[in-house]
Amino acid sequence: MLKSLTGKSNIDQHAVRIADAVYPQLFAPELEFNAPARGMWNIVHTCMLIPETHQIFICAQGCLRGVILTAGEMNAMHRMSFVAIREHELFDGSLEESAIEGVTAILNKMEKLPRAVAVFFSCVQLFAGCDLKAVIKELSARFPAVDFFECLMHPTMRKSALTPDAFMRKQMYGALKAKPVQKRSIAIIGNDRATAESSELILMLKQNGFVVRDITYCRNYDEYLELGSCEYFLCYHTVAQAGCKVLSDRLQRRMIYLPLSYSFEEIKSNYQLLSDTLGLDLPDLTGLQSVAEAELQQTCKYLNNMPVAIDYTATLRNLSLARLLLTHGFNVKRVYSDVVIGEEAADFEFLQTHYPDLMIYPTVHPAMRFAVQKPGSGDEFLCIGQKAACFTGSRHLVNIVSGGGWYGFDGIRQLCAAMRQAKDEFSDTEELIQLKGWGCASCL
Amino acid sequence: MNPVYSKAISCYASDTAGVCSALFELGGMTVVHDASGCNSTYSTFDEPRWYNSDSMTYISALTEKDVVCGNDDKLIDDIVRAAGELHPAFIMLTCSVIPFMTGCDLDAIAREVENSCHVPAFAVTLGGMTHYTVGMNQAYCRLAERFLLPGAAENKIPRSVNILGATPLDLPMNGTLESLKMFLQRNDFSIQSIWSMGSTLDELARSAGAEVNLVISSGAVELAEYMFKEYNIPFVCAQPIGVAAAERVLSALEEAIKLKRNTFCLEAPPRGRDSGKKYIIGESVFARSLAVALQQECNWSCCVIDPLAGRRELLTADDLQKNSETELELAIADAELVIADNMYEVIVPENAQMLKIPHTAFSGRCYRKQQLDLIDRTIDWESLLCRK
Repeated sequence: MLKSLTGKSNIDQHAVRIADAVYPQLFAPELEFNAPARGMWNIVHTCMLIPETHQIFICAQGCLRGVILTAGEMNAMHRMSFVAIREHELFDGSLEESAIEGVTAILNKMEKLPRAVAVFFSCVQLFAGCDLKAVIKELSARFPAVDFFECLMHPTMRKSALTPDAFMRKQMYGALKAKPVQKRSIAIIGNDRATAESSELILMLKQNGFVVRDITYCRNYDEYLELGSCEYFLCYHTVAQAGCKVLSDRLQRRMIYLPLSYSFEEIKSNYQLLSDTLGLDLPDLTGLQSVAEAELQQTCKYLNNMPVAIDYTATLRNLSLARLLLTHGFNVKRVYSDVVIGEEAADFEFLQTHYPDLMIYPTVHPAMRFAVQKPGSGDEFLCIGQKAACFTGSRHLVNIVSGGGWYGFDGIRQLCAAMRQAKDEFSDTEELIQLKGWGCASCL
Repeated sequence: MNPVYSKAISCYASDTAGVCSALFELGGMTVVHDASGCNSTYSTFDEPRWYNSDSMTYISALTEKDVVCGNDDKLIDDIVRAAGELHPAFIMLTCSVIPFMTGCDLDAIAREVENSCHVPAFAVTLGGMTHYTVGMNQAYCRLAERFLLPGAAENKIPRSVNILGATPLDLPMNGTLESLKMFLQRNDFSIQSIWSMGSTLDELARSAGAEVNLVISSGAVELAEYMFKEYNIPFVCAQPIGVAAAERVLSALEEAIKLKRNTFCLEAPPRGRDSGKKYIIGESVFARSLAVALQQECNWSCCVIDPLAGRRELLTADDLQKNSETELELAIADAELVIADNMYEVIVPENAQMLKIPHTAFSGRCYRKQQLDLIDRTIDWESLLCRK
């Protein structure tokens, strides 16, 4: 019977002062809870960015349901199919044959073949030693007009190599081939959403005559393939770095990594690197910093010491963001994150030294089940990120995931504006954070 | 080689989701032995009850190293530690395909957990490769074996009924359960327990005191059979849909009490000639009850197609069982009318009519706002028809 959430566990006892936290694993791995905040993109959302591509998942039913309904909720069932693994296939050596015949049957039912098919295998094929390359090779022979590329949904291996998120950002460029280089062209790699046009990054590139490509701009498969003609590959999300490196090495192009950051010095260093590498004119970085500083001051005053909570779904550089806000007078009380990523090591140390009482909360610890708060019960907080809203119960939400497409000084300016708006407004967080894939179409 | 594939339709909630959903409200801790992130499927698409509940559904966060090395101690320690803090009424373990493939001994792990933390612990070894109804049946049976109080059977309460198989996977969260309760109460039945929405574990434990069981999902048939065998409680597998099926359910319940006779499958004699092929695709207890309602109220003679590989006794001889998109497509190729979840629309023949009844176990949250309360009421079925 449903009961109110009271008294089961003292959530605060699981939070740690950042001064007492240990880098990088902030909380010991235990049983895990999955909070009802669904805005983060999964591999289905990301792969849907490749136009005219069909996804076929070959997994057990329990794994299939999540990806199928992800496509269903984003009104994209016409781009999704599956082959279900049955028990006997685990033991009788028929995994490859089942995959080949299943995918073949699906494609034979289509009135028009897709330009490309992303074939997703899962943990079970890896453990069973299924020959994935042979499957792709046979399918390519049967359907020569279709580009097949091998993808994995293998969360069991998430600690063995790349995380599933990073892995998908590698896979999504798997169909690209080296094309003749288009001079003064650059592709931004590994983004779910386009970088804001107002960012200095995009302005610098465009004002210096660069053609900027991004998978999020691609309207058809040919435009996607054109990414392979770019002279440079640039990425700024840490989860995109590995994929960008693999792609750059494979197509023998120059890679530029300009990590997303909320540190003025790091932002300036990024733009200097971009300028040096591409020979671009630098904008007035000091002036841009001053504008961002003024925005921060105005916003801090506007928030009037309102407590702020940040979570890792809003930005993987959550500690960098916390540092920026704290050093500009904001009352950041909580960060919801289970680990510290390598790029945040210096921010972590800084916060330990200068803001030792900042509280770090876990998000997947079993007790967090009882930290889910009714929306409206914690409106004293301003939340940056959906999990922060879920766990504080606040409806003052800056609703972004993965940085929100905001970058550089302009990104800070936009974030400040969003914080001021969030202070003034109540979001319907119960509805909002239930929606999968922030920014995607939804039938809900 | 005959692979099971689907070009365009969804798949049903899996066995592990059935376990989680069946036990959600009972104050226990359900642990799915699987990789981190895999719990998001259940928690997103299959489970709407996240606010105002004290449920505990967790994942073990299995890693490659755990699979290769058989790191059972970590799983046991994690469960015992969480139980020590959160004090669940019981602990249920289940698993998905990888532990199933490696032969993980969940029963032994459950015994170790129970010995360590003195909380009743049990397991159902699944593989994430079958339907939710399989998981529900097994979870309910383990719970009944452990918690039913035999003494309750000594004091049968006249006209008391247990509702078996109520989960959001089958029952829309739109007042349908309330309608079901009102239907029974209006007809002088008292409700002993509801497996498993709105009743406490203590209330379920006293289920043996009921005179009859009303099974509203094929996910609870094995529980009904267990209670019949152990406590001589007869059962009726049906939902009181519309007016006609409600009347039939009522008479079946009365007969069950009087004659100690079970009804697996609701049937109604044809009322007249009905040309044209009409099919209902769905969970068999619901679909068969709907077929009776439509036959009696509209003179539509419908063939039920069970896509869940359920018990054959739940269907009539004319009904069908189909396991894949292709089989379903062939079976309904001559359809004039198809009654099914909205996501089946893509395989409905051109020009056929459709009556869309969203089913959470199939389409998840996609059409929840369009779900109907069909229990014990007059329904203008014709008005619900639409052209494909």
